[in-house]
Amino acid sequence: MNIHGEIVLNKSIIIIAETFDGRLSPSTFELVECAKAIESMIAAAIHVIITDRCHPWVAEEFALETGLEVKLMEPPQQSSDCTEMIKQVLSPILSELSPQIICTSHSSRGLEIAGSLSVHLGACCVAGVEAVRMEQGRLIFSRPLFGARLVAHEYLKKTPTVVTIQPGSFSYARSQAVSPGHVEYIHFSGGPGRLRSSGIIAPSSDSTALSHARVVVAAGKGIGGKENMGMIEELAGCFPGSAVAGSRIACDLGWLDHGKQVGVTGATVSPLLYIACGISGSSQHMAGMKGSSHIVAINKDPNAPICQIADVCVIDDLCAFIPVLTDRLKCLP
Amino acid sequence: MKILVCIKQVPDIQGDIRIDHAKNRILTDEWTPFRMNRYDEFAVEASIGIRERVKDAVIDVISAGGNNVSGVIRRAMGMGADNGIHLLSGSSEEISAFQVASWISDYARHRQYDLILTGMMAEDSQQAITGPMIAAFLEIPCVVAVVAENVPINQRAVCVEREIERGFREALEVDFPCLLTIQSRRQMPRYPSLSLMLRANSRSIQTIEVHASDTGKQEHHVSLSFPGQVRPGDVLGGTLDEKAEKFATWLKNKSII
Ligand SMILES: Cc1cc2nc3c(=O)[nH]c(=O)nc-3n(C[C@H](O)[C@H](O)[C@H](O)COP(=O)(O)OP(=O)(O)OC[C@H]3O[C@@H](n4cnc5c(N)ncnc54)[C@H](O)[C@@H]3O)c2cc1C
Ligand SMILES: Nc1ncnc2c1ncn2[C@@H]1O[C@H](COP(=O)(O)O)[C@@H](O)[C@H]1O
Repeated sequence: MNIHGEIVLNKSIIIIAETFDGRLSPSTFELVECAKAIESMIAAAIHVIITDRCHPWVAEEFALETGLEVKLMEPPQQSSDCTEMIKQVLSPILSELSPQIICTSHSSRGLEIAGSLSVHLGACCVAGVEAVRMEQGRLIFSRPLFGARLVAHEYLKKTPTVVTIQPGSFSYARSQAVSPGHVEYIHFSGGPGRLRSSGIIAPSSDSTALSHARVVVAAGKGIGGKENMGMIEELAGCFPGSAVAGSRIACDLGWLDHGKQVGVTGATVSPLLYIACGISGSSQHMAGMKGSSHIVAINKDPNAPICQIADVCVIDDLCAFIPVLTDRLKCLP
Repeated sequence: MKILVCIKQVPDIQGDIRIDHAKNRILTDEWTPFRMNRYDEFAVEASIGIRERVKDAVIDVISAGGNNVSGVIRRAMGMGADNGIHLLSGSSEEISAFQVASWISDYARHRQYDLILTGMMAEDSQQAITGPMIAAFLEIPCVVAVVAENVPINQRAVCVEREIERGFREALEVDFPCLLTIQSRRQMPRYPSLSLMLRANSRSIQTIEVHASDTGKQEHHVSLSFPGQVRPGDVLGGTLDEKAEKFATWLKNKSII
C-alpha cells in the first residue's frame, strides 16, 4: 500500500507523454491506445508521466478523459537534459512502480528519453514499434526494417523493456473513462542545464492546400529528376481539386518545396485518391497518407511496400506509363 | 575542436530481400553490394561543414562491424574526414544498438570529443536509438533529428535546429560535449573526391578488436517476415495502353472522375 492507502500494483506500464507547445501531442493518445492494448494482455496498471512543458489544466483534462494516473513535472521544462531529468525524477518513480514496459513516442524527444532510460536501467529497447500482440503467452512487438520491406517481430524477453511507438500506428478512440484519473505534481529543479531550448519555429511553407485536396499525386525518388516534375503536374491536372506532393527524399533533393512533403515529418493527408509515383512506401511516408480512401501505386518494383497498402498497382517504368495515362485521361469526356 | 562521426555500412539490396530458414536474419552474399548509410553521409557532410567554419577542427569517423566495413570508412575519408577507426567485431551477426553504443562510447570516453554525430537512423535496422544510447553511456546531452547546426566563434556550444512534429522545428543551444543525430536535409552530402580518396587509401585505419558482452547480447529474440497485404493491391496487366484503359475504368467505377 502506498501513502494514500491504495494498493500498489506490482505490474505497470509507463507512458512518457509527448507534448507540443504546452499541450499533449496526438502521439500521446496513441501511446495510451498502445498501452491499453498491452494492459489487456498482461494485466498491468498504466501510469502517465509528463516530463515536458504541459499546462496543468491539460493534464487534468487528460486524466479525467482517460481515467489514467498522471504525474506532471513542475516547474515546466522544455526539452530538458535527459540525464539530469532521469536521475532526479524518473529513477525514483520507476523504482517505485517497477514497470514491465515503458512506452515513449518514436519521435525526437521520445528517442532521447528512450535511449537514455534504456542505458540507465540496462533495459532492452525495441524502437519504432507499429503493432503489439500476444502469442503463446508471449508479448511480441512488430516493427519495420529496410524501409518497411521487412517486419521484425521482437519477443519480450526481460523487463523492464523500453519501447518507442511509431506515430500513426495506433488510432485513439476517444471515450470518457468511467472513473477519472488523478494528476500528481512532481518537483524537478533541473535548471537550464547543458541544453537550452530557444523556441519553436513554425514551418516556412504551409500545407493546408495539400490537406484539402481531393486527389493527391505524389512524386518520390523514383521519378528520377526534377525534369520529370512536369509529368507529375500534368497527371495531377487531369483531376479537379488535385495537388502535387512528394516524399521526403524528393523534397530534400529540391524537386518540390518542403511544404509539399507527406509523412510523419510533413503533412498528413487523406484524399479521395492518392497516387504514389516512384515512392517505395517507407513507414514514415505511409504514416502520412495511409488514411486515403483510395491508393494507387505506380512503381517498377512489385515488392515495394507501397503495393501492400495500394488498392491498385501499376508495375511499370513511370516515365513510360504516366504520359500514356495522362493522354488517356485527357480524352475522357 | 574534435568531432567523432559514427557511420554504419548497410547492404544495398535492390530487388528481393532474402531471409534465412530460421527467419532471423537477412541473407547477404559476396555479391551483395554495401554502402554507407544515407543519414551517415549527411552526418559526415555536417562535420565537414563545421570544420569549414571552425579552424583546427579534426574529424574522426568510426564504424563497428566485420572486416568489410573499412570500405565505408575510406569513403568518409574520401569525403574529407581526417582519421578512420574500425571497431572490428568477430561475428557477422547483426549487433544490437546497445552493444554498438557501448563500444563506441568506450572508445570515445577518454578522447575529449567536443561533438559526436550519428545518422538519424540506420536504413537497415531502422532503430534511430544508437545515438541517444551513446550519449547516455557518456552522460552527455543529446539532440535527435538535427536539420541545421552552427558552431559559434567561442566554440563551447552548438546552436541547432531539430525537427519535432508536422514540419515544426525547435531551436536549441547545447554545451559541448554533446551528441547530435543528423536528419536528412536540402544540403546533399558531397561525393568523395579523387585526391582525398587516393590519400585515404594510403592512410591506415586504426583497428580495434571488440567483443560482444553479455549486456549487449541481452537483446530480444527476433523473427523476420515480409509485410502482409493491407489493401487488395490489384496489379493491372497488359500493355501500357491497356493498363491506362483499366485505370480509367477503375476511376470511373469508383466515381473519382
Ligand atoms: C525520422 C524520419 C522521418 C521521416 N519522415 C519522412 C516523411 O515525413 N515523409 C517521407 O516521405 N519520408 C520520410 N522519411 C524518409 C523515409 O524513411 C524514406 O527514406 C523516404 O520516404 C523514401 O522516399 P522515396 O520513397 O521517394 O524513395 P525510395 O525509398 O528510394 O523509393 C523510390 C521508389 O521508386 C521506385 N522507382 C525507381 N525508379 C522508378 C521508375 N523509373 N518507375 C517507377 N518506379 C521507380 C523504386 O522501385 C522505389 O520503390 C523519414 C525518415 C526518418 C528517419
Ligand atoms: N555498427 C555501427 N557503427 C558505427 N555507427 C553505427 C553503427 N550502427 C549504428 N550506428 C550509428 O547510429 C545511427 C543510428 O543507427 P540505428 O540506431 O541502428 O538506427 C547510424 O546512423 C550510425 O550513425
